[in-house]
Amino acid sequence: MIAKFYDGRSAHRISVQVDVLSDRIVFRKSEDTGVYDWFFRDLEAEKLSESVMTIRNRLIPDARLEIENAQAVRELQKKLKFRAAVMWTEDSKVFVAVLAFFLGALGIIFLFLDTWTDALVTWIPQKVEKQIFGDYASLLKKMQCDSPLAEAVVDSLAKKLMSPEEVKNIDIFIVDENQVNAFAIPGGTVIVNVGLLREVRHSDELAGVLAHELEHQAQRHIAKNLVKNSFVTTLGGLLAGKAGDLAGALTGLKFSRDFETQADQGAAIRLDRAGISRIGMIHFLKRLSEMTNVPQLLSTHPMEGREAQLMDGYDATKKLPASLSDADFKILKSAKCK
Amino acid sequence: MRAKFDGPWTDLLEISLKNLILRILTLGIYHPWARVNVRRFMWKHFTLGDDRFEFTGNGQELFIGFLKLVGGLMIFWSVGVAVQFLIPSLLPVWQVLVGMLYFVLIPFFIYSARRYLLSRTTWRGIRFGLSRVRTEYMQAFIIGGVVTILTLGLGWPWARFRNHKILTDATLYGGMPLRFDGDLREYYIIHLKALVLIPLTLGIYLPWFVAELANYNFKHTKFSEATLDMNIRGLDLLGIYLLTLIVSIITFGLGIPWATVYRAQYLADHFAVNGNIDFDKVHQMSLEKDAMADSVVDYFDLDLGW
Repeated sequence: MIAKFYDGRSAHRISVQVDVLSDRIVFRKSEDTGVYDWFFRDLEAEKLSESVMTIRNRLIPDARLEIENAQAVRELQKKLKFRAAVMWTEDSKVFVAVLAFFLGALGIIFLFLDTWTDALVTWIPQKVEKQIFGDYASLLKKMQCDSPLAEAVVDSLAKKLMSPEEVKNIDIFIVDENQVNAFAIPGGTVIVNVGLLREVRHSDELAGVLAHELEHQAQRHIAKNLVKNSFVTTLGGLLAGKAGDLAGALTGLKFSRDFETQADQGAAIRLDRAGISRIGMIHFLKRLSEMTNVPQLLSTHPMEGREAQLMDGYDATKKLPASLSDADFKILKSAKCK
Repeated sequence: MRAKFDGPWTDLLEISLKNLILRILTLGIYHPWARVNVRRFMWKHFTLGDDRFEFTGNGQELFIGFLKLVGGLMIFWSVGVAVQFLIPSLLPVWQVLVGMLYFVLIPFFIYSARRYLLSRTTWRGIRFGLSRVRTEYMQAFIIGGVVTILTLGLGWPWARFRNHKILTDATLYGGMPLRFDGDLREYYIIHLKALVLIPLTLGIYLPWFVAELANYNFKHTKFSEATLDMNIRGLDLLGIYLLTLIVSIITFGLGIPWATVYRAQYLADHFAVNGNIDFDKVHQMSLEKDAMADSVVDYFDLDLGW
């Protein structure tokens, strides 16, 4: 049979007469050159169609033999190894080593991610955080609810829950936003939506939410989340595109849950220290979990297990005074933003 | 010598489905091998004068290039985070520096990726290549960019002409260079026409511009005693764009391999090399080692310009 031969040294195409033997292919470039013996063990074939096949020889990597004969293709198909471009067929040992190293490095990164980001965030001075997020706080300040009486009441309640150091550094204000929400901004600001004041049915409920947010602030959860999420998103995006987004979302969820748990634990301690009942916080969280338009407070954190955690070691029979007087609570409930 | 593309779209569909499944199973790590599979298919089914092209790269080298890219980007990311949190006042300076670096690195990676791709492409068993004009190309690219901005776009054809000429003249086949003998005035006419007609026709003129420029570029490219030739039409390109879009939508992406093969067949049917090539002067070239640039170009979706 006639085939095309490219010797890999020049660009000439040579027509050769090919004979297929039991263990090799034999062909001759021309009458005055020697015979080429291509043993099957050295060959790798690639089928292009039912009648076309290219054959390469690992001993002469640049040379190619192209056979255009359906019968010869069928015959050789049974005898030759085929070239496949799947990752484990190229150089399996190197590939497995590289992949193992890669996955191992990833595993180590994720195993110690919490420790690393915690250390990094602790290292960043809080005033730097304030510098970075100051603009955001100023922006929200423009939405501030102009209700000095309500603000003074929220402030007095928050002060009961803060350490003397926090009283100096943490700024709390109410914004004119109807969504039931409160949140902490890195750098020492806690925002309370006027919608939250309308929703609470007892001052202890508000105290619970404030204690929770103050704890996010004290433990610098937002900064930690930002660093972690930015790392995971960057790495995930680099590695797997959409799969990376999924990984980011899953790890983001995990971070939120961990942080919410820590914030709940810290909030319980703050409430106890201030002599405020934890029951209000539990009631409020339960009610929120039943709402359909769930705000940031609970969106990543289902109620299961949370009540048990807040009640752990707590004497619910203990009678404690309300955290605000009736008159102050009325001021909150009737707060109107001008 | 006429060109031909004889790849069956069903084979490409099979490759695409296999790539998709393996990408999902390996969380995307398979991506470099997937690219190699598609390239091997496209190259080996493209023939010129009855001789096939071949893509000789492998997934492993692209994967290693990709790991280098990830390492580099993570360093950038870490420095960026450190600056943002530790010295926020320096953040704007850092952002400007990164912007400038990106501008400088684009031509570097375009050049390197083209060099890699050519070195992994063979025809008649002989590799293509790109001679060492990296600095010249980077200078031309950056100066061209600055001139384009300063002249409010009027320098754009001049910049593209220079970039194209440098890369074409540096392209080698078996050690022999290609030559671009286009004329700057004609280049200007093509580009100025596009600058006027693309906005006027709300972009519809774009395929006509692409076709005219591709035809011009090929018709003015010489190799040995031969001239490359391409004769594609804007209307056909528009039809192919629309067909690809419609097929992709109605088949939920499954028809993309068919559209890809259809486009390749069209381009091959309208490409030829006229004249003689002195194959006695063509000899095998050495192999480019680094495949990182190919991953960078893929990751940032940079335009190779061909």
